[in-house]
Amino acid sequence: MKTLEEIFCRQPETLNEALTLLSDEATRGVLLSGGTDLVVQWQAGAVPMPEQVIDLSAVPELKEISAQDGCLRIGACVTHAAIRNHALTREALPALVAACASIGARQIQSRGTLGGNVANASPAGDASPALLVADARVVTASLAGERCIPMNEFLLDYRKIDRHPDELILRFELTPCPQGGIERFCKIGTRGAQAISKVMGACRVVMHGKDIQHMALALGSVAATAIRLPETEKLLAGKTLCEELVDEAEACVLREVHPIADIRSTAEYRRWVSGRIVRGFLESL
Amino acid sequence: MKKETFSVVNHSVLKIDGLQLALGRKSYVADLKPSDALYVKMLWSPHAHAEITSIDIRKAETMPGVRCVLCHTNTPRNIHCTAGQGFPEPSPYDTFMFDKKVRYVGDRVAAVAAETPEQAEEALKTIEVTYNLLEPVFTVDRALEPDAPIIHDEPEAHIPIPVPYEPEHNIVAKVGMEAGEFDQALAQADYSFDYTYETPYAQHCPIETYISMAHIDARGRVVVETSTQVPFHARRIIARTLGIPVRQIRVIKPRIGGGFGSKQEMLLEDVVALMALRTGRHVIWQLTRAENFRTGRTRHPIRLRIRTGVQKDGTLSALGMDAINNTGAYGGHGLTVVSCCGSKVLPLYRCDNIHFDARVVYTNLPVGGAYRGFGATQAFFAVETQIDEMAEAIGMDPLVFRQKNHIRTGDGSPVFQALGEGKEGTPMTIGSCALDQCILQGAAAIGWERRTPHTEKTGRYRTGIGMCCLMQGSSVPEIDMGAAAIKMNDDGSFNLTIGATDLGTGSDTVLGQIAAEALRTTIDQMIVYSSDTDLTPFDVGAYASSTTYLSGEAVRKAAVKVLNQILGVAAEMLEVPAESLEARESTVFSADGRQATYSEICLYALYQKNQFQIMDSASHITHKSPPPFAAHFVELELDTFTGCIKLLQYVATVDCGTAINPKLAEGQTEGGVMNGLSYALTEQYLFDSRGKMTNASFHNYHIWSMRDKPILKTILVPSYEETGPFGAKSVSEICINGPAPAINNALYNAAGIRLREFPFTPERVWNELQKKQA
Ligand SMILES: Cc1cc2nc3c(=O)[nH]c(=O)nc-3n(C[C@H](O)[C@H](O)[C@H](O)COP(=O)(O)OP(=O)(O)OC[C@H]3O[C@@H](n4cnc5c(N)ncnc54)[C@H](O)[C@@H]3O)c2cc1C
Repeated sequence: MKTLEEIFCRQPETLNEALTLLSDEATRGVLLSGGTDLVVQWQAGAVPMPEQVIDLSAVPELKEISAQDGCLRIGACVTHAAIRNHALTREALPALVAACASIGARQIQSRGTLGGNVANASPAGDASPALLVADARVVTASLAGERCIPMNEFLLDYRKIDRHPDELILRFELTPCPQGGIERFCKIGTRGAQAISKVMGACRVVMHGKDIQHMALALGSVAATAIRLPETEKLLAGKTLCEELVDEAEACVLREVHPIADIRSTAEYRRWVSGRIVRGFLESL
Repeated sequence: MKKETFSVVNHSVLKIDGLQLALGRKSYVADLKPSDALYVKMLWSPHAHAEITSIDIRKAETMPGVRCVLCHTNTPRNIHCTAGQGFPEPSPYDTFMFDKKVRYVGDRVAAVAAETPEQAEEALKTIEVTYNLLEPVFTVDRALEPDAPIIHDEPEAHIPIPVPYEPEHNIVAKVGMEAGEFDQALAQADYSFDYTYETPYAQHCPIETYISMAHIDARGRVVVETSTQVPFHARRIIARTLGIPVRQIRVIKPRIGGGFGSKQEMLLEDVVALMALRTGRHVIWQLTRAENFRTGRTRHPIRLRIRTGVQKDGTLSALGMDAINNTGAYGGHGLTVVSCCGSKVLPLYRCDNIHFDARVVYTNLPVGGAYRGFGATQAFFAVETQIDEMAEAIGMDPLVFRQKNHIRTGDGSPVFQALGEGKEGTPMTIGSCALDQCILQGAAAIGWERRTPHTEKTGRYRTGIGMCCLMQGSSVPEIDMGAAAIKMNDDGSFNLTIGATDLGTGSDTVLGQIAAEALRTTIDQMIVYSSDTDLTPFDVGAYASSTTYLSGEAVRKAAVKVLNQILGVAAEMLEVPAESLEARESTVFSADGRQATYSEICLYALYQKNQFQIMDSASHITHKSPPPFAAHFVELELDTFTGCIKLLQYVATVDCGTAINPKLAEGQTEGGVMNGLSYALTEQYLFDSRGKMTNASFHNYHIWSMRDKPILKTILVPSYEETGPFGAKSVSEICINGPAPAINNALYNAAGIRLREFPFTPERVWNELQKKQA
């Protein structure tokens, strides 16, 4: 069996260097960010250990959080801890901050990154629902240039993302939660830390009194990828919040999700609790 | 209660091994490994039930680095039992070192010792095995059907004590008792109840997985350093398994990273010992976490049918338990665990009409073993749930119902006499019981008076308060024995050697305190050495909540004898009668104010006149098993939207007699409660359709961490047990029994749901909420 020491690891110090390595099949390696998914998967034998790795952790561009042109940019290698602590994210993306604060425990949050979480493409990746409700765009880069892909299109299928072999994820661009907007995040696991979600959800809502002006809902672990709930959103947007509407929305969610059973939960529970999560969001408004 | 002023016991002295462990000094088996040790890897059965029709190890033997390969064709075939119990064991002999048949996923097939673990792994891959697959048995119901496959069809299988053993029916044991007129009382009760409960598999999850190392000493004896709770039993079982004399074996237990019952077993030692004998090398074997889950011992899953009758005035008129214990592929501890379902639980409440009937059944699933709580944990879940239900039915506060019915000082129980360890029990009256105080103090601490009925609760989040009462035992009376020896040194210090086994519990410290107290000296004068079959006296080991109560009394007796020798020498030195002398603070005082220090006394005895070594030893067996008592309380918040339970606070009271070391007693309680909470809420063994555990890692088998710890308060409620050392009883097991029933009762108080199985996962709670709504 191969050991970690036998993997050939390059650590580019500039973005260009990284993209150059990626452009050539001979130097192209598996991208490594915090390693909290990859190394575990290698050790468990779930994924074979690669011949070579490109460690992105020294590329400065990938580690920035900034506000530009009315949107928030988060580099792919920004850690969950940084998102948890940064003034910009705390202000503009409360659901994402809550999601990142729920990942693993402190040690994992200090190593694990947003790009890794998304690129790992597990339906149980906790950051994805919060990114979806913030209308995130994924910006990828290769020597040929950048592509900007809406998050829901970037997540192709179970463990599949729209990344070309010569690309890396550069950053995420997110729409900040508008003034007066409300975000919520909810995660259901078995214990207080170090528990992969049974189901999790995020929402972003703008209310005017009891009127729902904007409604974005997303759930994870209920389909092959994290998903928005367009039908339920449509049902709610522009309506006045009342008990019947909450009932209707909950019923709509049950129609919209198609979860499976796995080691962490049952399909029936996931379906039911999806509705309950949305009900909980609505009742808290 | 007796008041004594103690100078060493009942004080929280520091653990004597605390510093060495905190500093990371070489202490554990793995630390002792020399650089040239051979590593063992085992080929485990991928099948739950199969015959090995052929096995070829020739290729493996020639692989790089390989020094020894073992399988059923080249190892002794001596039937034995891996459970570390007294002799003869109350468990079947149904195990071979390697067999032609495999009985669960994780059974042994072949072992390799090689220069590196990787080489051993590689060699395993070259072993060719063909299996004839047999129908696996995954439920006790299937096991008991007349046409069920027979799991133990080997002719050698037998049980070494006179109890029923019917492997041809997959039945490992049967036990039962009756008192009064149970059926009649049940029929005539104002209210009667009949529910069946299922308790799940679980594992101890000690941070140090099973590990053993063996080498051959200069005289050709095999020395096994091993993480065990039972060094002396391990020596006996190794000898039997390998067919070599006990005198050829030395077992040493260094420091241990937790056991909780899992290491009351001889599980790795035979393999490393035989490999050391065959290679002459140091051989080390440590299980991975996944192996520990799959092949290590587990908590027996038990089905419990509880039938009870209650009168409107709150009299408990009938108490019946029918238990089916799934012992998995091998029968160790199966009978004793299920006996404890009865013997450690049924006596808690006064009742004239008692019924108990239990069976132990083989399946092709992981093997049950000893696990802290030992059957009581499973049975208390069922009984304490039903106690609440009875109180509810007659409109009585469940706390008051328990106060009215619980056993008291001076009471006996027909159960004590009827149920023992594979034979009749020992009659006993309760000599110390502060359960009344436990209930009162726990109720005050949790705020029981705030408890309102679930019918008054609405909304998404509902709080509930629940409680339960508990008991356990202290040692196995008339069977288990512990011994201690004490030898005095020139500086007035003492070597205390004991067979008793400290597995992280602090028993070396506690036993040192008992000796120091009796010797009228201080803990720093005690040099404690334990668990080495060459150098220490015998002890059955760490199980059955016995070390403090049983081994502690052996220590106290030995110390009293040594103190008498000290006084005798002092009498000679000071020329006064020994009776007129008094010892305190390592000094002997005469009535006229003269004194001799312990150091002076020892130097005199060693060098000056009538020389001899001041030393003595004592053994102890117990004639009763005085129960510690406890009342546990929990307040939780149930999210009815998600079925998630959040614990708000937990109060564990315990009457363990005199707490020899209060801080360690609290530590035992808190650790046990956390362990029990995890068992009640999150831990579960998941299996695929072929009987393989699918979540054999901490990633998917969730044990609780500090993040999950609720506000947890331990209250030690003192009593004085005359038969224990300085009034002590046990403390280590009882605490794990409370969380499942207390939480279940709190769930009822929150939302009117009562579960009959756990863990109380969100999915399961959700199901109950659904059922209630329908
Ligand atoms: C104990 C533990 C607990 C955990 N708990 C949680 C949890 O609660 N919730 C949760 O969601 N996750 C959890 N995880 C998973 C993991 O920590 C997160 O998914 C984390 O965000 C992964 O980030 P990383 O930087 O470590 O990724 P890595 O392991 O470095 O990489 C993950 C994947 O992303 C790819 N990748 C990395 N960077 C890029 C890039 N710039 N462009 C393209 N591809 C890239 C890698 O090639 C790899 O396929 C846990 C992991 C552990 C070990």
